[in-house]
Amino acid sequence: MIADGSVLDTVAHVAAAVMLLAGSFLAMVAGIGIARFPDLLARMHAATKPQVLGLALLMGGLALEIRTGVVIWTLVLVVALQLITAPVSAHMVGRAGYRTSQVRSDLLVVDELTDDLAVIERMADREGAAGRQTPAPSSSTGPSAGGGDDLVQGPEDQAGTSAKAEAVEEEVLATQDPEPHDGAHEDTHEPPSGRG
Amino acid sequence: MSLGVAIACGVMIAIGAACAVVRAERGPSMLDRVVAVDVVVATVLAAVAIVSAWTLRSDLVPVLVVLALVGFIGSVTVARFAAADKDDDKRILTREEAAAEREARRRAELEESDGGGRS
Repeated sequence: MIADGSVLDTVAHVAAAVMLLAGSFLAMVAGIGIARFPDLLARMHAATKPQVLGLALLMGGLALEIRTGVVIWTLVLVVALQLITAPVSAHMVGRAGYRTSQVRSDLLVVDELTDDLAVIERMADREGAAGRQTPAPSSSTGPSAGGGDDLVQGPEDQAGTSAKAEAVEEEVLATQDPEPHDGAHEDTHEPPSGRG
Repeated sequence: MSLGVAIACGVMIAIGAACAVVRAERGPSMLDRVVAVDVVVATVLAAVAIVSAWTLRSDLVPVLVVLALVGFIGSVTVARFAAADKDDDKRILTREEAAAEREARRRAELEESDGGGRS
């Protein structure tokens, strides 16, 4: 333990004061931000400040003030709980906000969810149209040929189902094809991360 | 921890909490209010931490654990049951508006019973 009145004790006190002040400042900033920002996502952005960084700073300052093993581990538990639960609640609130159309799309710089939903809707439309046309003789494509084989090979159920599964997989891969392209395209926007 | 640091922290936390409460009152939708309440919970956590650091009381630390859990449960519950409100249903009525609405409803009921009697 650090003796009272030693240099380390003073350093710990000063560091604790700085951390507590910083955490309180983040709480104030979050309050001002949440009162002034225009829409739900911006307010959520402001609300995260005291929930994660502010809390970590405050707990660090408190741990430096009360230097006991039990207290320090309890404070670590508090920060860990908050780190686990804050993203979950933020995710659910953001999702609910999107679904109940409280996200102002004119303020968004990037809106990947709307683009993806449009792509999925188009895919579903195409699949629905294809499903209605499958009885017609369009046996040139892979999936329908597999289905025909399945009908012919009566007893060999397993082979038939595996062929079907393969066909479905192919279809899924074919329909998902645009997405990797999008991802690669977006990756080029970002500067290369400094990993390694 | 000196008194000046404690007072500065307390003032900043109070400003943050007051702004969050304003948003919780004004916030146009339920989700805005829930986010504001989350911030209030975070500021209460900060206040408990400041009190604990000022008085060197370690028995307040379990309170921090409980608060960190309870704020999460509240916001997840409200987000789970969030529905798309009509513009009119979103806001809280002022006292005058609520009184006027009640008055209009009562008058409509009276008129209905009166009209039924006359015609």
